[in-house]
Amino acid sequence: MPEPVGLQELNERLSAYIEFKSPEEGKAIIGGLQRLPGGSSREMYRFHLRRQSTGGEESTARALILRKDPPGQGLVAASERRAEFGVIRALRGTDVPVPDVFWLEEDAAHLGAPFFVLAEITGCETNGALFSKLPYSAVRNSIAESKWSILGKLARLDPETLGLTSLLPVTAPEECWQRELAFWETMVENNRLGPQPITSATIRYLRRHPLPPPHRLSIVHGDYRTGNFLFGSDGKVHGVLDWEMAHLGDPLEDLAYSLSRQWALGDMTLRGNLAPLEIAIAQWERASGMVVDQEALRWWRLFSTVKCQGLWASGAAGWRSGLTPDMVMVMAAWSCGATHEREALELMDHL
Amino acid sequence: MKPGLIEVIAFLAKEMPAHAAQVESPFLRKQLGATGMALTIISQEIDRAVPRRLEENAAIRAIFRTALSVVTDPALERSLAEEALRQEDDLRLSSLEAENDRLRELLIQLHACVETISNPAAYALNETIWQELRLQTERRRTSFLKI
Repeated sequence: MPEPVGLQELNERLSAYIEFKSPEEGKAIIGGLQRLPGGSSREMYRFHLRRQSTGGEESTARALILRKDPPGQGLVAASERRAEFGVIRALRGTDVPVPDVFWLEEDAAHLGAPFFVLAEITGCETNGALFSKLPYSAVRNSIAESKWSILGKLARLDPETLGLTSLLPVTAPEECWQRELAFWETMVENNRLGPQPITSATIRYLRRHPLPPPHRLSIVHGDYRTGNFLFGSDGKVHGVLDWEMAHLGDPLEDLAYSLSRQWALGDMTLRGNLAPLEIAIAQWERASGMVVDQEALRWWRLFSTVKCQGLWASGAAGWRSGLTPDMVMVMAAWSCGATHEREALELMDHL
Repeated sequence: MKPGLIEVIAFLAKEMPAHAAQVESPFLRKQLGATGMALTIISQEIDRAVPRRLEENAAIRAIFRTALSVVTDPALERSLAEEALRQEDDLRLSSLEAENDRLRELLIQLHACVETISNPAAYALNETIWQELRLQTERRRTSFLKI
């Protein structure tokens, strides 16, 4: 297990690493290093970096984010930092806004665990509760349009052109749903929170109703929800974050996940506290150029309830075993899990 | 009168956000906020935890008794018969929780079996199980549930 590193030591070791990677830019001076909440599968830190030349001249400070593997297993044990880093880098310059990426380090010797560094997109928010408050409530519709349009544009991108078919596993289109369902069923099973009759029944239902192949194999973000995109008071989404679950698959998987009732904060009639279901779907259809198969979408929405149970189970297992002290893992298992159970009942007409 | 358990936990749940606002570290701020939410759920759950489990265990056993005339798998039938007759002799929450887990595990097996049987009694039992599953989410309802 990688060793835990304190903030002061992390500061020193990170400075040393950056100097080691780019000695020509001079001394690395790190300020304001602090751990951020979120990033449940990785520890997340914010810091400012200045470089000082041998003549003593200092560069302007650059806001950066360190995403470091936790001491133990995170929410997604199978997440591949190399794939996450590669996907973000591949998406730079496309219609999907992502931060600049800098260093990817897989040798745990430097910071006690593998990590990567990316730019912080400043002046934005991630808290979806703000959609109900000024100034964001005034541009709520615009943020919704931006959010689901970006997701639609992501579905349109060709993974091969972006070099992602050599980075991410390629599955036959007709096997996408089976692969995802098997993966998350295993996640639920391996991190048992106790018997979950509704989730078990949902999995059986999904297997009894196999899906037709998707329109196309797309880049799937895998966790496209409130909290994982940065929005501004200008009504635009300026960055999509947390790509650790990115994979190639059915684009409806992302749309369905984004529509979960769990991401409502405040107005329960709005998906993600932003837009009614039908509006969100229409925005995605316009941007993706695809027409949503409603039955397939319902399948993926049901699947999302299973996937989320897998996420919460994994997080709770990490908390119970002492790998993370994060109380959000407890709350997710208690509260989010119950919402997803009710959502599954609703989608199967048993509520 | 001395402060009661629920009263104290509910107080702590409300205190947490106030303390969190004064903490500089964003991570610790979130941690305190989540702790406050967890305490809120505990304060809502503590009084009903035992009766809820007793009620639920009895409801599942009643389903098992009905199922005895529906299932034909001998091993499952035997398990259902055994569990249908069992009664709680230890009212500690941990014991009731363990019993609830065992019953819900068997309920999963029963549900999977019933879904494969095509006759009116099985259809009716299937509906009864779904109704019970819906009630289970109601019994676990907290102020954070969104549906």
